[in-house]
Amino acid sequence: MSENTFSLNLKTVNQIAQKTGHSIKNMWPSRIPLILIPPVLIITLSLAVPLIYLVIRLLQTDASIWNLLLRQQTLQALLNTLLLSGAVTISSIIIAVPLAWLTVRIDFPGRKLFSILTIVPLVIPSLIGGFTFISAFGRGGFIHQLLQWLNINFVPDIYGFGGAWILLTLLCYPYVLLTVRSALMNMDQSQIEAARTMGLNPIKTFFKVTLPKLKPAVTAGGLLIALYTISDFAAVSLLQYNTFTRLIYIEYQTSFNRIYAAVLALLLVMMSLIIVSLEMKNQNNNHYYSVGAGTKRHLMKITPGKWKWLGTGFCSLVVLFSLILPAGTIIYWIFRGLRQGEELIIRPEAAFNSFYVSFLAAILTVSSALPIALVSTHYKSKFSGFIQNIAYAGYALPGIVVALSLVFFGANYGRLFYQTLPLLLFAYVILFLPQALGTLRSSLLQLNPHIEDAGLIIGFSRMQILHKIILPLLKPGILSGAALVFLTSMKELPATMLLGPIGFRSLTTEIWNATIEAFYTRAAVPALILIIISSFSLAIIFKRKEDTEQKCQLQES
Amino acid sequence: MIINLKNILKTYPECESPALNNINLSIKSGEIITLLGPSGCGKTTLLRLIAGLEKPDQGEIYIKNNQVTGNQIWVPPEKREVGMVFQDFALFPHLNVQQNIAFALQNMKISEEQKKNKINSIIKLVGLSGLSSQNPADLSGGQQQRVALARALIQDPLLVMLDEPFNNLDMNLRSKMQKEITDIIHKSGTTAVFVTHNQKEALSISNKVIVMDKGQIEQKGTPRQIYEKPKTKFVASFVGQSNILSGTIGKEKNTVITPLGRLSCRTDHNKKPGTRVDLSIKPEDIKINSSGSIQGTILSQKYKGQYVEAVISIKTSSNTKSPNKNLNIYLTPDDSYKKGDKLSLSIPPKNVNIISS
Repeated sequence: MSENTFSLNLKTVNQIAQKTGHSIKNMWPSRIPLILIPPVLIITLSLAVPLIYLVIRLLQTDASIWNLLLRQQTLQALLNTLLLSGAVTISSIIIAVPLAWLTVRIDFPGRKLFSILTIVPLVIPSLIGGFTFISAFGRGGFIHQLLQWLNINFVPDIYGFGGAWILLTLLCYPYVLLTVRSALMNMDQSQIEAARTMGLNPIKTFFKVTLPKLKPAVTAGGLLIALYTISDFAAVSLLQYNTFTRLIYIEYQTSFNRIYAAVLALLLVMMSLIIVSLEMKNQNNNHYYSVGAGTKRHLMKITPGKWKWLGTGFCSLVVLFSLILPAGTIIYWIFRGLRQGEELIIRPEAAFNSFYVSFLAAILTVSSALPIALVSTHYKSKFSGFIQNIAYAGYALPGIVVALSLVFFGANYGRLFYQTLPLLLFAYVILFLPQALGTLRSSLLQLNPHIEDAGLIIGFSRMQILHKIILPLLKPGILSGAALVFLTSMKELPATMLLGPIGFRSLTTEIWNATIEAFYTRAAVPALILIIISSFSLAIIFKRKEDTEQKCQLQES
Repeated sequence: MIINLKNILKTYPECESPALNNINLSIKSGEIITLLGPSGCGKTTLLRLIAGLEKPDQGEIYIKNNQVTGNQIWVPPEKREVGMVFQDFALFPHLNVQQNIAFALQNMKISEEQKKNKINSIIKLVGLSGLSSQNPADLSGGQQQRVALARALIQDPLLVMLDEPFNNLDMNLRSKMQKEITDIIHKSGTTAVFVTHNQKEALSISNKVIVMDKGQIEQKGTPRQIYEKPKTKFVASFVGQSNILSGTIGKEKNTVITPLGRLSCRTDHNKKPGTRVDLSIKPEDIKINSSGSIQGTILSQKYKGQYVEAVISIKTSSNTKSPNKNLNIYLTPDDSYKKGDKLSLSIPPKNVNIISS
């Protein structure tokens, strides 16, 4: 979940950077104030150190790296990870592209409602997805109980590739839906109309004109999904499918020598770096611009006649499995728990821990991101570009990898910190810094550079401008960045499990443990809380995207 | 008739007034027509209705006597045989020039050889030889427009429609392309409908002009009729400049009593003596004439290059309420008049045009 909201962020920032290009160039070309350099350097270095340490340790090890790399288990995990991410990406595209086209272009009954409902599954973190999937279809799940009640003795086999594939597809397809919907809505409509006047019917027009133009959007969404899938820990682990993330966790838990886990972690990072770099390349290449400029017109929706209920049926089916089923499952277990007088329906301690740690993480992350955001938006130089890239590299770091590298680092150098709160917080900062940075950078880029020029002319010093002009204007950005980090930290699982102090309970670890032990009623309330939390964080992201787009439109007009 | 529109009504959602109100129009084969009007007058909507890109709320549309819209009948755009050149050209950025043009042929049941010939001859007609493998984005505005036109013409449509085709071109290129495009259309022999808000363009490119305002047709006619004999106040002031006066038809058909006094006027009206009317007089038709009956004073002058636009204050005849009436006239730049100079003016009767009551 988290990696993908990151990527959505990255996209928004790049969009503003492109659209406000002229204003960035107008920004101060001068040197970075000395006072900003130490914090920026310290923060960036500390971000990179754990990973670098992991590499160094690997290079120093006695065991032959090649032996580790070429183990049957490694190759199997690589194959599994590739297979799963490929399968999930393709099936998500197959579901999402027709959904997008239907909800944007076709006038079928319930179109408006479905264009919202089909996006909503975004609020389900994979941990919750895993929990609801297992507690619905697994042994003792409510579908199983229902079947028993109907005297049918059948338990669907949900574990392994099949289950992981279906679950992740249901969780992921909205990413393609989002990118493709927005591409469809912004598409040059006269090209579609031109094709119609040239004798092509709606279906042919879709394949010949619309689809080729959707390629960048489908690629962007597809890469997000591939990244989500390879970095996902909760869903694959709960469904017991051995991808890199699950294998790393198992190795960490069971093996005395953790070098093998480190090898796997580095392989995983390489895979996700490849995906992130493809994503950046795709963003730079996707100039399927329209030629010439014209007024945007209202594009007539296609009235499908007697086929219209097909659209309603398809959308209903998707919403049933991706939204109603998980939500219904959670509600079922809560009611069941209440009726049976289950104690432990929520552990106050876990909720408190989650809130408290996430709150600290939010403050720390935003304060670390602020100097980097300032340097990278206001001073165009190789240095600031480098710093920014390192910070964004966090997008490519799956939670389990950050957790593992900090376990290594802590166990060898930071014994004092190992399995303490500060180390967990440090992990959160590394993981969520790109998110905070994205929010701050987009707020900073939206500031009119002339405001700062005006400050200079009045006679303010740079520090005064920062203090009296920029920071007050940046307040909404800081607050929404902090809120976003807070909400995302609440949902974090792998780092919390690996780095939390002994006996540390959070909402996510509660759900994890309860699901593994099949105490489904115990997982339901924390799951509900997390879904609510997750809706808030998405609301913030969408709000910011909307603000940005409005701002860009204003600047264009 | 190629096109016949009957009682067309179209209102967009969230708009109070209709975009098109009771439109009746027929277009003959071979005509080159311009729909002229200010933005928002409904001219583009009219094109889109003919193309099948919008549906009217009421009314019927016939293409070559076959009904395509109205009474539960709906023929989709791809079956209407009308070509369209869009304002933004709407070229496909993922296809090169030749592929863009060939795009329109993919549904035609003709041999590859015939297709190739068609493409080559159209590329030659629009003057794009040598550019067929270029991407649209690498072409100039004028070249892009020629691709768009070639694409619309290649299917031999019954009618080609061009929506503000010269809007996206700069001033110099604009007049060059106006000539080129109309030449190509003439050569191809196609019936064409242009949409424009530029009155000079409308007068120069077509043989029939339809002036529209607020969703209604104000006047149809040849460019000369529209310019010289506007039938409504709107047409008089939108097509060229006009001085609009109110008056009363005199005892004889060829006189009209105005605030400027008794004027001789055109006689091609059917108003009875004593009818209150509006009349329009073009500034360029008002002549300085020492024996003229209209006396006035120069209030202000504006240099416009080819001419000087002057506002003349005329003392009106005593029986009207306002004591002064302003007239716009054009002076030659060589005239060295000053503000406050007194002038005698005359208006030839053929240029005093009765518009309506």
